[in-house]
Amino acid sequence: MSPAPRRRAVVLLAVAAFAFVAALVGLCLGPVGASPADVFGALGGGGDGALGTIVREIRLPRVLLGLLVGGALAVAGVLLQALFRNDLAEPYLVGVGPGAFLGVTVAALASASLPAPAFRGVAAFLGAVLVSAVVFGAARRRGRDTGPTLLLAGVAIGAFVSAVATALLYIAIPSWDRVVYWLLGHLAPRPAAEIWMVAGVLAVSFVASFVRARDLDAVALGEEGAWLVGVHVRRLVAVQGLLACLLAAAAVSVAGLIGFVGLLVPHLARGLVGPSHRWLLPTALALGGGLLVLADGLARVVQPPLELPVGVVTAAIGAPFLAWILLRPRGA
Amino acid sequence: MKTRPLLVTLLLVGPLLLLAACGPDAPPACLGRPAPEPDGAYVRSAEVRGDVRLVVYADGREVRVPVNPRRVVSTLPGLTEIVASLGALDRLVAVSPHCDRPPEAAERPRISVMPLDRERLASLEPDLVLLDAVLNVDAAPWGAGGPAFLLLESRTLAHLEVTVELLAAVFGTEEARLGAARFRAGLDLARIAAAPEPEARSPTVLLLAWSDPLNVLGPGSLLDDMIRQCGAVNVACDLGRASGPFAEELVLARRPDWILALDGRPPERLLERWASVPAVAEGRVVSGRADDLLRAGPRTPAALVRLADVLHGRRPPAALETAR
Repeated sequence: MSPAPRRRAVVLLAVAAFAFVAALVGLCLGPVGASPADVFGALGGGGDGALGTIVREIRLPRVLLGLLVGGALAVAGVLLQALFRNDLAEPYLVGVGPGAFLGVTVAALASASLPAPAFRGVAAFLGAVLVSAVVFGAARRRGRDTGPTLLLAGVAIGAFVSAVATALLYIAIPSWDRVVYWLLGHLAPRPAAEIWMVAGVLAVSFVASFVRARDLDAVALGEEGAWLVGVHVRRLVAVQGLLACLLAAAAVSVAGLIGFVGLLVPHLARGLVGPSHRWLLPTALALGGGLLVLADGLARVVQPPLELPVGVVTAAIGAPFLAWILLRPRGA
Repeated sequence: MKTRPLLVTLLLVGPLLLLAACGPDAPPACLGRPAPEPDGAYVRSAEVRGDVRLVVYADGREVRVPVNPRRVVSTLPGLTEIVASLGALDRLVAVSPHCDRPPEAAERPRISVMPLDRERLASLEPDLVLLDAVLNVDAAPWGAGGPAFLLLESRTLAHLEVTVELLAAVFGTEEARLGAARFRAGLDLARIAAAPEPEARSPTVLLLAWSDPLNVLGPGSLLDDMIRQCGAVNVACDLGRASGPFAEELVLARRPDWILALDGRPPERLLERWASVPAVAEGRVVSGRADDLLRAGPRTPAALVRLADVLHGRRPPAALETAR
């Protein structure tokens, strides 16, 4: 049974507060020690030269990017789990990850190494959108019940695309290790234009999904039932599915492959506010952003001066959670 | 629905991590002074026993090498250069795809090294395969009848010296012995030339392998040992490995006097962010693309002298862009 609306509103506010606290933690965390007072001083334009630059020009863009990328992946995960009616659905299962990998690899062929950031981002975005569109196109050729077909098409086409990209990488790109390293997922400072791009995609996609929250609730319960209450299921799956792919592709294009956020966060959010997408979407947005910022902070302080790829941290947290989903008793 | 435990956990994580972030921030002790000379004696003995030379490593491993190897495969450009400098180029039956010096070596058959193409290797019928530990190639022997795999080290100047001596002993010719003696004398002279003035302040250096994503060289890389020989300190001295990703904010906090960028000049947007770092503010960002800086081989002593001259202000930084 879903919690009462008032209680869900309180939970949503608490999650938003969590994201805010996580952002502050993200500004404090790093191999160079900084107290909250130092951070606030640096944000106000003070602080000594190095710490001011570290907080304003390295940590702040990272935190912003983390909030956006984490939010985008989480919202994409919510959408895909609803459309597929599958607890294990996540953005990379519909070809976004392999598509970005192929896009960056093809771009790398031109430079024989990891392409320049702007070129790399565009290539990853185009690859992700293209392959996920192929996955959706393949799934639409099979009747009404697109959920399971989409997952199967995503796994099959994703595996094929990954194989092609790996072969290209291995055969034709001497500095392949740099490409692989990038794919592990990083929140290194990005140019403002890229942060605005992710913010724009997230804002448009979030609003476009939020206004269809009731339809998503209906589809999540089953396509036949959704048809009966008047939802145009195929159109909804196509539009919302492509929005999910756009969100994930925008995230991948600036941060590489960061796994498990799109899988873990929808489940956490559902546990907090229930299955209604009016509450689930904003909760996942805030929770995903906050958790990714914390994961990035951990990636920076676990083993300084080494900086772990944030994708490794999210996988380390997400994989046990996946196992828990698979192994928990029914009805828990 | 069990919302409360989840929520409490989430809201506790933030403050706990916040507390962890406020801990002390002591710079590592290794930043204060150049590291001590590493022990390069990775081979304990290499004596002839009957029809083989028994190489015993410092950790007790043993390898039996033919006394007079005639068909040798080199898997690293630096090793190929060493073999050539010892007068044994004619014994090379194959080299790695990256071996381009001396020019005659580039005409030898090529063999893929990462991973080692064992079928191609078998077809070449070598009696000795030269490997370097930096490659992480599987050196497991093939058993009776297969070639000997001689694992060599080149992570420090001392290692390199032992490697050249060992190879000279393995080839066993007068020319090889002379080549090794020349290398030893050259390295001794280079060490003297590279040594800093007494009482001179130790400059700090960032060895930037790639700038995107940020990746640096640390202890266990030849360049780290070379700058140590010059009296300088690697700002990634606590990296704990030869190369790896490095937190960008530590570049700002540790303020290197020099940045040696091995992948070409870093992008301008990065240098703008690092404007307060002495290396950037005072124009000491050097593009160190010369291959003799990166290849452990007979040209290393000359590269060491050039590196020291640049770090001590005796030559312009451009001296590190091209090998001599």
